[in-house]
Amino acid sequence: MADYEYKIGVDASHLVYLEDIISSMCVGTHTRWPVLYRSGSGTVRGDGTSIARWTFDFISQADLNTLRVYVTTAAVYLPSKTMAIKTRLDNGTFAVFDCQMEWPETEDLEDSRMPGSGGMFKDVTITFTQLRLY
Amino acid sequence: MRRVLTGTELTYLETLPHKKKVYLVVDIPTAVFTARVNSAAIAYPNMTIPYDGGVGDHTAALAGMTLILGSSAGARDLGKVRVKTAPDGAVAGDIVVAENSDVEWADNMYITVLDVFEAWSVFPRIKQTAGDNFYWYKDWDIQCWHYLSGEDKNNVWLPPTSIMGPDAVAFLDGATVTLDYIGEDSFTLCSNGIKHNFVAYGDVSVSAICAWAFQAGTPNTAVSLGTRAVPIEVSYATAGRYIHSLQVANDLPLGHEKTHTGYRTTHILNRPGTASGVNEPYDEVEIREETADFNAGGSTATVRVWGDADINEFPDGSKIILFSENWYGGTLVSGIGGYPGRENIDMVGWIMNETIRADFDPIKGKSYVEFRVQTIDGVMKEIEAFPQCVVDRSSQASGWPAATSFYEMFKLQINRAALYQAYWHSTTMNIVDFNILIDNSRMAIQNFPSGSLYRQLDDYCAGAFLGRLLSDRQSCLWLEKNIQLCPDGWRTQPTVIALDTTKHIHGELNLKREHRKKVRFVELSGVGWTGTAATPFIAKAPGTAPNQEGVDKTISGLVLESQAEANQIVGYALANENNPWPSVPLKFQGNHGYLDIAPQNWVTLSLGVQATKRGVVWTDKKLVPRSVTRRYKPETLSMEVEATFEAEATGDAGVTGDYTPVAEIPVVPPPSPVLPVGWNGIAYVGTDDGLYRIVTKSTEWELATSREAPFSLTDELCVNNIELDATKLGLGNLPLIIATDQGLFHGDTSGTEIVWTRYDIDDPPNTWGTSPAPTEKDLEYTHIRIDEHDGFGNTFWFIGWIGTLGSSASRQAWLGCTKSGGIVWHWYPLRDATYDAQPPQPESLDIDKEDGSRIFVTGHYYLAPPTPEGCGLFIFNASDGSLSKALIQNRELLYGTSLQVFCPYLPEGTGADGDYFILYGHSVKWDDGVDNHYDLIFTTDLGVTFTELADYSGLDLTGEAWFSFVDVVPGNEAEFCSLFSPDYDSGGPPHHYFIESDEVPWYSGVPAMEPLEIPEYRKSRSAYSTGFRHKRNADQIIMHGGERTEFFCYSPSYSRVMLSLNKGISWYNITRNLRDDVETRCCVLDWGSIP
Repeated sequence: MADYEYKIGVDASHLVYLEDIISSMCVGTHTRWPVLYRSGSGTVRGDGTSIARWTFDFISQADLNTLRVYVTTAAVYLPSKTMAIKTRLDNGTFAVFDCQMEWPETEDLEDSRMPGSGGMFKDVTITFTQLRLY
Repeated sequence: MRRVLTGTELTYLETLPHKKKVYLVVDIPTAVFTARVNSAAIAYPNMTIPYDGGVGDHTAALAGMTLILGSSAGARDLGKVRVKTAPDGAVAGDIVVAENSDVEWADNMYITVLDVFEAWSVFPRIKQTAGDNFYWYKDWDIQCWHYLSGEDKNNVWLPPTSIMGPDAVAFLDGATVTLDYIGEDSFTLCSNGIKHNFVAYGDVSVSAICAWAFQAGTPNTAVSLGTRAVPIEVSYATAGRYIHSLQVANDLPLGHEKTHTGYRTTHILNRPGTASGVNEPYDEVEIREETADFNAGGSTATVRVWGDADINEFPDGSKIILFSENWYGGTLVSGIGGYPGRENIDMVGWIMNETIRADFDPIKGKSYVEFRVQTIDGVMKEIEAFPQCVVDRSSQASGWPAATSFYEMFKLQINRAALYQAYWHSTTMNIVDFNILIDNSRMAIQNFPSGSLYRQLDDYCAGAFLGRLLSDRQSCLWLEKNIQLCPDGWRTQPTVIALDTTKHIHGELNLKREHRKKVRFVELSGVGWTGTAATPFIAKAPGTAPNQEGVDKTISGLVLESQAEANQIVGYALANENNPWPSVPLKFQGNHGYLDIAPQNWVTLSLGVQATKRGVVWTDKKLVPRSVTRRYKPETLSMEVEATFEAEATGDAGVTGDYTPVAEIPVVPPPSPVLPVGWNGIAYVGTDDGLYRIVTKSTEWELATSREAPFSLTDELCVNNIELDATKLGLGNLPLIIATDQGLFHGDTSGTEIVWTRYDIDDPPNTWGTSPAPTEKDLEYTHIRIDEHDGFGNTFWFIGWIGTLGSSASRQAWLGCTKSGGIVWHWYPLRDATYDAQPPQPESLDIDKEDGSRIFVTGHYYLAPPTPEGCGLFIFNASDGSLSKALIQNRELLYGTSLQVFCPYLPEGTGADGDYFILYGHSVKWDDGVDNHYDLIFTTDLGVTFTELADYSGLDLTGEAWFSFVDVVPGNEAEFCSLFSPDYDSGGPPHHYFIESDEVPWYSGVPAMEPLEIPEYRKSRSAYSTGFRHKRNADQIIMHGGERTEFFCYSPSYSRVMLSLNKGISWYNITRNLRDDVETRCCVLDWGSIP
């Protein structure tokens, strides 16, 4: 089992390894139950469609630009777009999903910019919602 | 949804995760036909609009669609109206629209018919046709009951009601998509209850030949309703917006079939992003919150649109459909709850208003449009409707239902009243389902005061059966009794789900428990109605004595069927007011979208002793949802559902209330503010059962002619005419002379009791040679006039006759006279040379005001065919009783009657003399040429020529107007007044017309009778339906001699004597009503000085 099989693509049949297109490394999380119900018996039940997040401790402007292509249509940057990823589940395995890729808000990105770093950002998180197992 | 969840549905609900993808469709109609107005002169009330330049399929423009008017093609800047009758030509023709006044019609206006059906208020119309005849119409020209053909009978057999669910929406994922259509809940309402589908019952049933029509569907028609088990399956191959309709019909009774058609839209959609926005729903809108609220009566949603939302994409007031795809544990299902086959429809509503946010902060600013969307109740709340009233009219002797007008309903009952209001006064039932009660309680009357379409029906529900008009999320309407207050039969609604705290709800419980009782005592009352009799039911709870805490509450006016029902409801009402658990908020795990406020259903919840710190134990505690909020979270495709419930409130039945008859409240007549000068406040009314006297400001009439000598000890005394001896003015109460069927009597009023003396009159001559010869005792005296020129009052004239009213057989009539105070008597036959054998029926008597030398008598001839009936006028010389002139008029016309002859005082210096008199009657004008016409004519040459007294051609006197009396103001002789009162038999409100000869023309609308109705507290239910549409005519009018602006009249039906001080503009009821079981015939005021 590889430790780093993150992939990204406009759809599930066009996935490419993340490491092949950018140099920054991410930490991926997968939240299977974004909605939790605590029932009267004390048990907790999960609901909702799973969510994944890729957090980059450091990422360059160039890498961000590369990833941003996936939320771009006709040269227009979108806040989110339907695409596909392969990401790590909480059991350590990787799985492919169709999802919505949500680009970080501009204000958050600017807050992450590292002054004097030559275009580096820290603690940038890209969220993938409405994960549907491919 | 009024059923228990199935096991499969329960499994779905308990299988997480749930996923819900919500979409929004804006219902944007298209133009089906355009044209331009082709008339330069369209004026109200012409609703038939000529057009030319038609483009499109004119047959696709249906009645009920919306027509917009604009200054350019397709524009709507000049208004909109409802199409009433579809256009009748492809290029040119007429299109009929609903009544309107807000459109300024003009030639070449652009008209566009849109394929949309909206909620409209449908205006009623009351039209006066002739005389006292009023026709009640709906929607301008729909009659309730056609008198001649007997057709329609719209309030006997109501049209059926189509039930077809909300609009339909589906994605076209393949070559075709198939939708189910179900109409099996369509119903018709016969007089005995509700019947569905094809079941013939009683006098109506829903026809088997119902008709579905599916635009662009395959098939495009269907002739069965479609059931849950076997729905109508229709496939669509092309995305688009289509109309589907369901017409249901009564197939009984033959000859009176009626139809009702419901219209909905079917939206066949492309997936978002697959067709460049064409026929795609919105999926990038934010549905912030959607709440159904029992108190509000429906649901409201807030929809925020971030992208463009111009007027073409979101037209004002558009219908919005929220629908969804739902997964339960990975299984895609249409949904749970809602109309069968439409479970995917989350909400059908209309945009009510919007909030436009434009944030000028370039970095953090957020601009959007937020629409507030409401279910159909919201639309109905914005549309005003006219007040209505409907009364029960069950049957008549012939066996045919007697409801012949729109204010009457054959076998009025609890559902029929609601349907009457909803069906005839709005188009709401055409665009949403209208579900009724399972109840057949009869009712006598229902008023719908002016208000919105919603308020009228909701108030009706609350007042009649403690209910509500509720809209479910899909905008299907439900008449609902409050489930907490229902008697057991209705209260036993299904329990939709037994909630499991492990599988269905989550979070915390915040139970609010009341410690104090809010209401200590409830008294409830209502009426049971059988169609002929009303039974009051009064109940109270907890019993005779109240509880210790809380206030008292009264509920009244309910429609009830039994005392037991009243007792049960009052017990529940008290329990509900003191419900210890009025608010139970719960949060649900996942997509519990079936929860709604309507139709009302129970859920149950159990709590163990350990569940709460108070040790509350609930075992299958029944809860009813009163508020349900749904929040959609698109990032997780999940939905939060929170609902607030009322726990079931149960209580013991109450007890039968005490019925204390309402004490008779003395009716004190309002005193006249000013007594006319000289009037001593005494009024006399002659009836067919004696003479009555009343002193104003007193409350009781006094019988002035007891059955004692000189009157008959056994026979009723019919007082036909009264005269006061005006020569005794200044002496106090004036002496009376009354003309009766027992003779002429003189009344001495100087004492506390009237002393009567019968005049001993000579027998009349045997003018017509009958055997035996007539005697004075055979005569009926009908008219009497004292000659005012005889200062001693010794001269008076009268009429005595023998015969039968309305017949000329064996009639004999004479004019009588004494000039010696009753010592010497004279008789003169009412005899015309031409019609000697058939003397007239006397109608009136008067003496000229000039010198008393001319005596006038009018009569009515009943002549044998082919000679028509005619009017008679006799003029006698007072000196010797010779007949100076006899006129038989109207030889060419039927049914002429000289009703009254009147000789006015004439102004001095006019040169006129007693040759001047006024004649009033039925077709008395010679060359009128109009039958059944009342004329008021005068002559200045002793009857040689006649002229119309005034131009009263604009008055409606052509109907059955029977009573007219004329009087003239002494002292201002040129002024006179006349009162016309139409025949009460025609059933409509009366007209009163007055005329003054030299000041103003005819004027009418005098509210003479309206302020004089029986006070409200004295009315009974039956009085509404019988007493108040009849006999409201005024029978006599007399001018007061002292003040020219004062006169009075009286109404025979209630024997009211009324006084006006301002020429009839307003009236005072100066006496209370006399007996209503006698017929009154005449009235006078005593003008003697105050004794």
